[in-house]
This record gives sequence, C-alpha cells and structure tokens, in this order.
Amino acid sequence: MEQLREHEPQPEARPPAGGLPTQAVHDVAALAGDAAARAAAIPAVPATVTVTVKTTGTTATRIVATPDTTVAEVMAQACRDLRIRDPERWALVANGEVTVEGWVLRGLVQDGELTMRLVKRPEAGA
Amino acid sequence: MPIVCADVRLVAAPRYGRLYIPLGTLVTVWEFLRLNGSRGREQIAFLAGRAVVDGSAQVTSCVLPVTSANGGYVALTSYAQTALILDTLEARQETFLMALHTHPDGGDERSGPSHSAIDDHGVALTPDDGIFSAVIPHYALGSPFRFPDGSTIYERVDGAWRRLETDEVDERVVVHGDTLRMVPARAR
Repeated sequence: MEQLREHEPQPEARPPAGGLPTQAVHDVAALAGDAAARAAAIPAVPATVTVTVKTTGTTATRIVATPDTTVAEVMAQACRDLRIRDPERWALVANGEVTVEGWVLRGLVQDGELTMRLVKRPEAGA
Repeated sequence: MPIVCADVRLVAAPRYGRLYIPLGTLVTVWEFLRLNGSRGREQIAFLAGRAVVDGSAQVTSCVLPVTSANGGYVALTSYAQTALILDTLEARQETFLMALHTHPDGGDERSGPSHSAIDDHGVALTPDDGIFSAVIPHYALGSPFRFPDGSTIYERVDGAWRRLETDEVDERVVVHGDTLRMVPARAR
C-alpha cells in the first residue's frame, strides 16, 4: 500500500481563481517594453472619423462620426448644416465618385479623414 | 448616434457691386452656346473669377461643361463632373460667378426671356447667394456684342433669384475689351 500511494497521479496545479498563473520577473522594464511592443503591433481602429463636406472652398461642415455612419446620415447632416433646401437634387462625391446612400464611412475613409463635395447636376429648361 | 458632432463654416454671402466680364471670355462662351443653338438645342456654361478690391468680381475663366441637351432642356452629364469643376476652380482660387444658358425663344417682347421653374432650382453650380444667372434668347444665335442687352440677368439673394432691371444690368454687368483691367490703387 505504501508503494501504491507513491505512484498515485497528482492533480495538475490549477491557476489561482481569477487569472492566469504569473511568474516572478526580475526585469520589469523589459517586460513593460515587450508588452508595449505587442500592443503597438495591433492595428488600431479609430473610434471616430472626420468628414469635411464642402460646397465651395469657403463653405463647409466638418462632421465627426463613427466609422459605421452611412452616407445617407452624412448627407442629411451636411444638408442641414449647409442650408440645402432641396436635398433630393444633391449628391455626395468622394474620391471622384458619386457615393451611394447605404455605403458606410469605414469603406471610404483613409487615415481617419475624408473630404466630400456636396454637388448637384446643373440643369436648365425653357 | 453615429454622428458625434459637426462644425459648420459658412461665409457671409457676397454682393458683388459689379461683374466685370472680358469680351474674349464672353465670346468664347457665346460660341459654345451658339454651337448647340445651331442644332436647335439649349446649352449652359459658367463664368468664374475672383472678388476684387472695390467690392466687384472679375471674371477670369469660363467653364464649358459636357452636357446632354435637346430643344427645351440641358443638363450636365454627371454629379462627378460638377465636383471636378468645383475642385478645379478651388485649386485655381476662382469661384463660380455666373451661369449662362440659352432659351429657344425671346420671351415676352418687353421683358425678354425669363427663368423657368427648372432654371430657378437648376442653373447654379453652387447654392451660394450673390451669384448671377443670364438667360440668352434664341439659342445665342444673335451677337455677343449686344450682351447684356437682350438677355435677362438674375442675381440670387436669400436663396431666391431676383431679376435685375435694365438700368441695374447696365450698371452692374460690365463687358470690357481690355485684356487687363486696371484697378486704381486708391481703391485698396
């Protein structure tokens, strides 16, 4: 019996409740540096983007919005800010392309900034 | 709430006391308008320039857009074209000053051609006040040397088009033949 007891499997050490096991370290500065480097390697997603919507060089509105904001929401805000009375006749152009209402800013913005132009298609008729 | 905040930059609308148009630029625009007119189609074009020291505006360029037109209607072919025009003007530090478009007829004998409802909401490149609109009769098949006589001139004030009376047109829309128009130093 005595011999059997010696070979009984021992349960694995469990991490203390509430966290992973830690080890004592002597170089705290190196540890902090490694942690900072790992954090910096994770691409940051901006919480907001800044969209400048302009009609002319002197008339514009700067809108701060979340990346999931739709073009339709930007359009509505810009038309209010820039006092556009007939928004159904206007369109937002970004990067030389007419945008679609359902598009979200995430797909248009680079480096957290975007400039759009609020334009209409001039027309005349007798 | 996807939109966090907005910061608007609106500049007070200018009121240009006079609009100076070089004859050479006017003739260039007129030929563009007339070309469509000779085919029985309307046409639209724009004048651009800069505010000058005496509260007036000097036309420095014209914009001849790509349009789709028939006998009673004309429109630019795309929104992207408008954006390109405005980007270019901004890069040149010029601003849109006047739209010119043609009508097939001469309008009333006394008052000349008038803005239609389409013209009211459609002719301008930008929503600003202070800009002008000219309606040219008979598809611009007449002479540009009579302009602005025989045409009708509007100015946008408080978001609405105001028709200028004949004497006001004579006073405020000045076609000049000089290549360089000198502004007196004392006006600064």
